[in-house]
Amino acid sequence: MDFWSFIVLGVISFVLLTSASAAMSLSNLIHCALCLVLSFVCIACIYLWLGVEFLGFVQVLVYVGAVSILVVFTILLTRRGFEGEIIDFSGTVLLGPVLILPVLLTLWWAVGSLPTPPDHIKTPVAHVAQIGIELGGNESGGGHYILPMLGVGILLTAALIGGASMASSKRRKEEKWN
Amino acid sequence: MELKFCLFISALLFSIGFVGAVTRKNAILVLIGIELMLNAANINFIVFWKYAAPHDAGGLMFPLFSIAVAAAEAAVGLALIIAAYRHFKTTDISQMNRLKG
Repeated sequence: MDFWSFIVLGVISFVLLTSASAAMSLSNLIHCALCLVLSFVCIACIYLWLGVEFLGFVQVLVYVGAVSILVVFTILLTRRGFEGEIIDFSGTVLLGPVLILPVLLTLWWAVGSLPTPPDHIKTPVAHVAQIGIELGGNESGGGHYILPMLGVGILLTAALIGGASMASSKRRKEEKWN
Repeated sequence: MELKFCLFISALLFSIGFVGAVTRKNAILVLIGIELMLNAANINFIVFWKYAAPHDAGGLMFPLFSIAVAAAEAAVGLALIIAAYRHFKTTDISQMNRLKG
């Protein structure tokens, strides 16, 4: 593997882990959301580095574009003014590290014992056309994932309607009582 | 080498998300931690596809659907947080101890 390519991956990973740690540890929620956006961007960069351009741009559109905006709107809608946030770690601060440590060690051991794939094999890049054929199909075949794709479409529609009705249910109840 | 490196990064990202989801009291930050864990799983999917079955583009479908389901989960979760905030006047999950509306 190219030395500089590995350096790029290392820098992206460092920024990713740092921003994710900051998103989980800062006290100001807006700063947490901004660090979360940075970590989503770094994950998209890792996808691009791995040669999966389509998923990289899906990541940018869905997570950086949509989910982050949802998170920021939720933070703004659930704040009572901009007085300083107090740090809000729960009483189980030690529980997280204690629980994750055996999991992390097991993962570390499992990953370390994996056989190393030969570096000289050049893996092909998945083109958008291939993904489109797998999803929708064409004259020569493909289209194995039409039903799951329709299912995801129905799920997203249901989530949209359900989320909107949940977020606006109080207002409708108030109108009914008034 | 890069396979193992990406898997280590994914494991660390999962750990950070898990620790945040377990230790923070704010419901929004718990959801952010869950999102980070989902992203770590997606990185695993893609890395294993690239080094195990790169000739089959079908391996990319699982992370694609996973991203779509995670987006739906985030939308519903955040709507739930807003609904709970209207009732409890806080996003502190330690104070949300009743299911009664």
